[in-house]
Amino acid sequence: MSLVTIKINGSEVQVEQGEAILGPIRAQGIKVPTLCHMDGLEPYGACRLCMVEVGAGKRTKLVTSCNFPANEGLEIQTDTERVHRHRAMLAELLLARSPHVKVVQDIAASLGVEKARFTDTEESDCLLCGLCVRVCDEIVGASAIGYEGRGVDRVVGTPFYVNPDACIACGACTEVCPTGLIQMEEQTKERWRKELSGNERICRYSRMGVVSAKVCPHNYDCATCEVDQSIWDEFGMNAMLALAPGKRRKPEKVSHFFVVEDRFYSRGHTWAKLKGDHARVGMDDFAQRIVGQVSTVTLTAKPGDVVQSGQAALTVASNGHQANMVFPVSGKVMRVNPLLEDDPTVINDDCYQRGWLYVLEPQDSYEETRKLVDPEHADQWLLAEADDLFRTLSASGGAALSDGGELLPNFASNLDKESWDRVAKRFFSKV
Amino acid sequence: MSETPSKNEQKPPVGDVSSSSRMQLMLCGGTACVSSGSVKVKAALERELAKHDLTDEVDVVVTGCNGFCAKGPVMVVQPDGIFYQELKEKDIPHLVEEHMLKGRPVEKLMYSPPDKKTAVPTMSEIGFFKKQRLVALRNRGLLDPESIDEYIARDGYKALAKVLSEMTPEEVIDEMIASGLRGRGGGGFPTGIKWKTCRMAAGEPKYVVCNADEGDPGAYMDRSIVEADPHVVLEGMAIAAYAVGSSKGYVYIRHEYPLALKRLQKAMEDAREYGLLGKNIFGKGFDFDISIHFGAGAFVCGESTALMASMEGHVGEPRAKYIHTVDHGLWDRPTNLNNVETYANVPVIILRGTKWFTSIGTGDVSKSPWGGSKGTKVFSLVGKVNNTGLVEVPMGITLREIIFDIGGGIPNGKKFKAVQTGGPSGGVLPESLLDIPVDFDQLTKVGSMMGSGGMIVMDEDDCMVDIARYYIDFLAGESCGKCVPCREGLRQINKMLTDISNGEAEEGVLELLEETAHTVAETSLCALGGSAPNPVLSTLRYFRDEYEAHVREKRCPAGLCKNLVTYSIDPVNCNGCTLCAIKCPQHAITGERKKVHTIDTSLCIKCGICRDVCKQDAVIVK
Ligand SMILES: Cc1cc2nc3c(=O)[nH]c(=O)nc-3n(C[C@H](O)[C@H](O)[C@H](O)COP(=O)(O)O)c2cc1C
Ligand code: FES
Repeated sequence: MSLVTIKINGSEVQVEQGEAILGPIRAQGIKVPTLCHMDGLEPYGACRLCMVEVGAGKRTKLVTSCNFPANEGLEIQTDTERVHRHRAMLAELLLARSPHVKVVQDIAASLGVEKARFTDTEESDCLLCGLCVRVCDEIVGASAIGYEGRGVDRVVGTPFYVNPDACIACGACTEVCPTGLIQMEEQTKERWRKELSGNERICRYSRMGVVSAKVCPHNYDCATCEVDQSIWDEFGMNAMLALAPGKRRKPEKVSHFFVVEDRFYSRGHTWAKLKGDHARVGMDDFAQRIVGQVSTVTLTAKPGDVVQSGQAALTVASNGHQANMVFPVSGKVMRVNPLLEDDPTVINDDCYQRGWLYVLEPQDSYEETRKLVDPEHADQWLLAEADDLFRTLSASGGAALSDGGELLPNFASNLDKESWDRVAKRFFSKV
Repeated sequence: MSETPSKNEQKPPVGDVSSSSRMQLMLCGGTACVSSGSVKVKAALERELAKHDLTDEVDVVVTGCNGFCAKGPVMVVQPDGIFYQELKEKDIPHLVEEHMLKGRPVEKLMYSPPDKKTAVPTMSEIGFFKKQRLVALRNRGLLDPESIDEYIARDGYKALAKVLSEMTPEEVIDEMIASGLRGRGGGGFPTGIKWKTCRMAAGEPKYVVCNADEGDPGAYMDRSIVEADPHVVLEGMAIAAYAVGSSKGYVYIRHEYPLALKRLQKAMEDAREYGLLGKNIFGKGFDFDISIHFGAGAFVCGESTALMASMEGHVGEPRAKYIHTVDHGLWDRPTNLNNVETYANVPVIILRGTKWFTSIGTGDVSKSPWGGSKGTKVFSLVGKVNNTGLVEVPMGITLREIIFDIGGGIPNGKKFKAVQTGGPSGGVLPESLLDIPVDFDQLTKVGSMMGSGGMIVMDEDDCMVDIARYYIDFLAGESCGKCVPCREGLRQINKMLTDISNGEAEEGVLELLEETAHTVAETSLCALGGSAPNPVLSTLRYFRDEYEAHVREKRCPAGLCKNLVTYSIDPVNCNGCTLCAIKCPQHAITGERKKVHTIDTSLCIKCGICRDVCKQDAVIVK
């Protein structure tokens, strides 16, 4: 990254080219009100409070500093009449929405707004800053919270109200919510108390991947637990946020298998997650569970290779069985996961995050992903796959299922070679 | 730049169709005419022609939207250009016998202007068509949109052949810049400059996307172009792809447009079969193909970043445009997005040259395409105007010419009051501005915009507060809800306008309204919020007295805001016809036959039915 010189209220400073200007402005000791910004999250640009003026002379424009990129020669003014006027109006609008929320009161007061003059007095304590949604998606990776509705009717809830199972009670959303309104953590613990018993009561820190697998003996009353205490002692903050990004574990089950709704799935049970101009590729939870404890992984491509979707990507071996899996998309291999070499069971531990396989530069992401199962339909598709799996297994005389239709770990290990090959061909060979 | 023979442009829009038959019946198959019965008319025409043994001599061609939707189903008889309107199945036997068999055009099925009784036989003489200038719609009504051969016969794909064999991509871009063509989707950004930026952007592959989302209520310009002439859009996209260095295109189209979709799909199939899409087009080593992507129908998804997010499978929400989509667009790759009408202008510019194109329109683009507005613009003319329909006019024409000469003025002898241009977030302009030339910069200067080309005419019965409230209500509902000014600002503006029209607003509300509107306009994340205050700010600017009457005197000058008016019957005009009493849903009107009627205001719900049915203008609303 190259350095560029910009001017903040007349003083020259050097910053990284393309860096959002909010950081450098604050580094000058200048106060900029923000609501939707948090370091470590992608900028969102929704509250608009961070507006500043950029440009010189008469040709200036208002931009949000949290996502406006620095360029050589950029001139920034943070203290103009225009900036103050609009920030005050934004604060007044927020105050009309959420008059009882302390952050809003504080921001409004700092901008000289005491009372909202508006007559639509329907109130909500949620500011729709999106921090909870984004922290759950970008840092926790659980995507348990989403928006519903458009425009003035927008509310925050679980996405389409279907999948509160995705919540791992990590508490990150509670932590970042500027209003203290979000209660996901407590609600989920309450659910678990009701619905889980005995060995099902996995410690939430295990679910987060902070401690090894452990059953909760404290009725999810974390305040009385020494693990909780020691983690707080260690980090001094929410563990999930402390370990960000990307350190967390899947929830126990969603219709037998876990699926994350932020990526595309191939019919051969590999996934592709697209971000910017690269695609991360890995095995899905379904494959990971069928294969069982991975003993070796052999990646068939190396950085620099150009691969086609459907082409062999890897061979996994476990309990004497082998399976060949294919690339979900075409492209050039940029990187392979170095963790696999040390310990291939990282795939079992965390197939969607740390257990990834390749990073590709895809040829034509749009065209490629059209052939795949899209995130929205992934759960339905996986349900159908699961049905099919159970049919295939019971036809092979599979004692693969335990009584309640639950999967046993390594359930496929007692299949004979013929049945195994049938399963592998049926589930892993397609795109 | 070479000038090819001017077969392509129609002014007036009457032309030839290469065919061996002696007569062609160009029957409109646009969405409006289909819904007013053109399918039955077609069957009747075919039946009657067969009956008289005329099938070989007379062709029936179903065309895309003719434009004069108010008079549908319409049909033009070529080569004479005789225009028939409001055809019914039962008219056809007589028509075929008289005109097609005996050569005697049927006057009673022709158009006559509202103020005159005499029929105008030919299309070129009709006021609605006279001042139009067809460039983007040059083939409308002249070919069967489902026939690639007819498109080719009218110089179709000739421009593509020309760029591939005679021009470098840079030359194509220079040509577009010199032509001054600016985006027809709303922003008016110079097309050539966009292409150039996209060509120079780093990253592969590059994409070319056509925005056929068209979410403005009441607007159907883009749909009509796709329905009437789908190949011109494909050809324009292919030329853009060649210029920017792309081999992959997408059309983002509303799923509610079945006819447009069907024609587009047919056109794509035919083009592939003819080698005009696919690999190695014209043997010049240029590959290009197109896929269709369906839009879910949210207004905000027409916005470029939201459109691309939705194509990628994310929520259709805009993002900051500080990083441009020509550099980082679809899947983070350089992406050229243009509107349907923009693409439709491209082939004819290539064929006829910039000299011809810049001869139409305003300003001087020789130094920069920002210097003027060249070419034409398609508008959908609706509201309180006689000739509603789709019109294409040269830039620089006045609003007065569009509304009065083409649109035929205001119906029912009412007075013109205002016109809104640019769709729901356009500004509302008063009579005093009727003579400004219609172009990108003039409209913006007076507080409105070109937008995608909606044009809604209002008469003296329309209340400007109510109009503003109507659009804000729509826009508040279509806001994605992401950013504070658009979501909260529009909500409060909506409430203020509702208070005003209910007579419940307090002194000072207009200042607060203005203040809020300015913040929404200046601080919103995307152009939806950025332009949403236009209807409020423009009505406040040009009709402030009307707002003040609502606030101070609790009076609605147009007699529309229910809370502020009472209904009564004028004893002088009432002739006791009893119609109002019969129609009143509340039974609030009483009176004997031939005697003056009265309204019981305690029962009246101010629905306005009595006023609408009264032939004597005796219902007073004050
Ligand atoms: C709320 C909103 C809705 C829009 N809807 C459309 C639309 O329906 N069709 C369209 O072509 N452009 C629409 N636009 C404009 C596009 O963002 C974009 O500017 C345009 O498609 C670019 O093409 P052009 O340069 O050829 O005009 C919309 C913009 C906004 C802010
Ligand atoms: S911090 Fe909210 S828009 Fe920048």
